[in-house]
Amino acid sequence: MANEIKRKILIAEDDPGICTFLRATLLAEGYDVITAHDGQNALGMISSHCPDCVLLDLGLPDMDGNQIIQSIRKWTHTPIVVISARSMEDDKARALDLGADDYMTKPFGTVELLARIRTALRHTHTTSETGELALTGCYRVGGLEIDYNKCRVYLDGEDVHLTPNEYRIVALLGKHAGRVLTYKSMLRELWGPAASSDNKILRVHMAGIRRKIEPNPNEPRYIFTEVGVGYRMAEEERP
Amino acid sequence: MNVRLRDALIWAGIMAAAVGLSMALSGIYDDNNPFATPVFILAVTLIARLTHGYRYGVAASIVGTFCVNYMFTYPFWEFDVTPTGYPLTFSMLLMVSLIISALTTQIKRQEQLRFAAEREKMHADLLRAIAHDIRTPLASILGASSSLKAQNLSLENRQALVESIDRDAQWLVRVTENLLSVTRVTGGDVSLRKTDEVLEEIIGSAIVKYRRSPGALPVHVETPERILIVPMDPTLVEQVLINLFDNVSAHARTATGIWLNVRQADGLVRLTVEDDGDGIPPGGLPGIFEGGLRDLSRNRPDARRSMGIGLSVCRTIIRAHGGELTADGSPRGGAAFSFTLPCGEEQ
Repeated sequence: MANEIKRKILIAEDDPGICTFLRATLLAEGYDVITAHDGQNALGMISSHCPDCVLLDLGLPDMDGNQIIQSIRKWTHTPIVVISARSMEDDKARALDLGADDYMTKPFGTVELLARIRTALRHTHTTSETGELALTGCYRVGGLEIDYNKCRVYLDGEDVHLTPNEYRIVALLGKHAGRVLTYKSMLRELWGPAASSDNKILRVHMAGIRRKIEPNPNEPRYIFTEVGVGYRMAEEERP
Repeated sequence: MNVRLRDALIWAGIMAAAVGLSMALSGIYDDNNPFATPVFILAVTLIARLTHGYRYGVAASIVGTFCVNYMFTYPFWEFDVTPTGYPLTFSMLLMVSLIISALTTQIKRQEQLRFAAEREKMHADLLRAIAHDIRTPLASILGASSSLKAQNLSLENRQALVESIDRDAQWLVRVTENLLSVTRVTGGDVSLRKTDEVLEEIIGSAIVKYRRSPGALPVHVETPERILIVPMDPTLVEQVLINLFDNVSAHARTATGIWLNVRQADGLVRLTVEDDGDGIPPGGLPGIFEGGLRDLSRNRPDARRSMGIGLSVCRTIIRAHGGELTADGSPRGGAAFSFTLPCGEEQ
């Protein structure tokens, strides 16, 4: 582990307190950390340092956060984890649809921070084509198993008999496990670009899925609702 | 502009109805129509009551006089200024219109004043509750951090102080989240961002978030089997549930669990959060939503955290949704908080 190349993370955050906390946590975790305090600076750092992951505060003083995401996405797929304050709820879904990979709402703890960064890094370095999913054709978390070859979902070894639409929803979330998928992106992925923006069908399907795969649908274990944004499939925590 | 259009439509509608009614009555009487004047008095009264300001009422009395004279008084379909009743009819209609308009305007002004006073009182209550909720944990954080600066603390003590800072900071986070929710509900004319939500998703998300906090109790949920779709601002309703759960952890000392019951009837969804703790102290129910319970429980050693802001925020949010939040005793022994949300059509 000692001579492993360090992953470089850019923190684009204007608040010195949060910046100090992020920096200290990430350094202790063995990441290489660079910081930027405004949007222009951040864009410059991304093109000159090519960080492995960007932590982007949506409320930078000089530029609109979504504008920064768009500029970054023009030329790189570097994962972007958005940091938002609670008052910017609407911006979260928009940031994700513009190409951000994940988001955290202030305040957040170190556990959440590190989990998000690990997920974001994993999705670039071992995409679903090369990960465990591609090796075995299965995604497993807890007692849930998605078999992509047979198009079946098992709970504790038992086939849960999802309808075709339900299977497609679960399969999509499983491919992006650990990441939040917005309603909009799911509708587009499942029903094509012409799909209506009404996510009611999706929500009703999800209620059906939960009744089948969640031991207690009121305290979900496998598929979490990110209120007002979308859904997130639980991810197996690896040591 | 909308109000003006509405007033104009009311005016035109009532006047047309009055003319129509008078003409229908004229069919019965060949002679002067004795009902025309009362019909127009009624029309002017209604217009003055239903529209804003004096304009429409005065216009109605002028047009009404003209109509009575021109259409319903001999000679018909001719304007005749000679009859003695003419100035009387006009002045009567005008008086009615002016009096009713004056009364209407006065009532509206009083309503506005009362509304403003209520708002003012709500803000004052809220500020008082906030100040209290913030001051106590801040004092504890300051105390802990100043102790931490001292060098001669054992590792154990340091750990305890860090944990207490953590706990109090978490509490402050909750308080600020509540404040943000309130500003969204009462922030000027900004209405709620209502969307059709699957109720169980909101419940699930609230429970998952609540269960992450230290000392969280298990939540037992009873819901109808079918999917309930309720129009709501999801983050705010989620906040209400989290607040109610938090209240149980913070105040019901002997509680072992939380029970959430969901029922639907008559276009309303009713959610009830119950616990089996020691309940609301006698006499604590009135004023519980204004932070009144705090004063009652002041003598308790561990009652430093008020229920004030959490509950008043809950009520503000639920009222903004057109529902109502009530508190009562639970058959399980603890407290029962129950709120309704209008759910329109069912799925």
